[in-house]
Amino acid sequence: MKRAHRRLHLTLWLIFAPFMAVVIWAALAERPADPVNEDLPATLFQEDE
Amino acid sequence: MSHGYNAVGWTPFKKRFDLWLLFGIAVYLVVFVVVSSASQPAGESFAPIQLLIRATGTLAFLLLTFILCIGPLARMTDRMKPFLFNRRHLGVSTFLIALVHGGLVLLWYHGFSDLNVFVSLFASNPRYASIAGFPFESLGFLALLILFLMAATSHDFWNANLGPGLWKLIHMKVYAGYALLVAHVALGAIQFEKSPVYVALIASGAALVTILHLISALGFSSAARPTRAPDGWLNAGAVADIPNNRAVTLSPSAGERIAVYRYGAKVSAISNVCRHQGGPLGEGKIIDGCVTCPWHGFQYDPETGRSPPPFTEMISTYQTRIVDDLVYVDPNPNPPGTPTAPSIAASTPEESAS
Repeated sequence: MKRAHRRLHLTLWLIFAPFMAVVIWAALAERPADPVNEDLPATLFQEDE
Repeated sequence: MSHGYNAVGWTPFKKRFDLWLLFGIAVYLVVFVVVSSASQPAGESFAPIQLLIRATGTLAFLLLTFILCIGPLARMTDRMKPFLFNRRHLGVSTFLIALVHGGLVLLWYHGFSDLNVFVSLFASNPRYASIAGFPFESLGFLALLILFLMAATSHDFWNANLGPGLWKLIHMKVYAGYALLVAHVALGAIQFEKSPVYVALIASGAALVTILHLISALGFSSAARPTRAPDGWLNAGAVADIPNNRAVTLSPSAGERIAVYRYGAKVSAISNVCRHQGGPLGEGKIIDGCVTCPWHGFQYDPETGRSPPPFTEMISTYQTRIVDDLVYVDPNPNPPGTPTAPSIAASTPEESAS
């Protein structure tokens, strides 16, 4: 590989590596929780007493 | 090489490789769809086309991850060389699988829209400022465009007509394509798919590719920075330190790297840059009397820098001399293809050992 391409290769990975890490981290941090319906009672079924 | 163009230089090995590749792709798709169908959570039911979308999506991601690992791994072990020689077939296959994935997505999620499917793709979800709701499909579309560019220009015809420098520059866009693909999956599938398998897949894939490329860029770029003799010639070290039919690579302060080959008692120096795609000739070896590039097998006579007939590639040669068993190289290259007499060592390590 030519010297210029070798330098470009390293530069590209020094840019894309943190980009991918930040995107994955942000995607996991912002991942929506399972939807919750607060109108429903906590326990849907009660055992017969 | 330069002797005319064929659509594909088919060899029995390439045919076997492609058959195994097709077989592997078919098995993956069938197994993915069957296993996913059988393990759907109660209350959820995916249409076969949705399972196929996931199957082709994961397969394209896995294949591109593997393809990007081939280059760095091939510099560490010869066992990856067969994959290196067939990397372009893997790349074209990946594009075709990604194209099927994209086509199915357009058909299933945008095909019923009143809008043009492409307008619908980019306009139906305008939440570009959101992370969780980002229109991730647009990232996948851009990644697909880059894969198309790679596949369309993968043939040596384009390499020869664009020139190795520009061709390489274009094909380095595959790294941007991979980063877009990672963002596409992270902002897409990861947002609604709760299985930890998907998270593990994307995180480990991105980490593996990144680490391998950084090791390759940093570790293997540390070619010897040679000391200089009073007349400016570069000291390439002792004759005995150059393995037979192999090279040491010198990295002078200016100009391209130099591959210094020893073959028996002879020592010759040539440019380290292959004319084909800029492969590192110093990491190759001498086969049938010719320096053979580790990337695609282009060959050069170490004493002339010329490819054997009927091929016409030429690279620069360098003057060498041996003094007190130390090899010295003139840092000024001869014009490509200039015959240069090799230096002859008084003895070789092989003779000393016997």
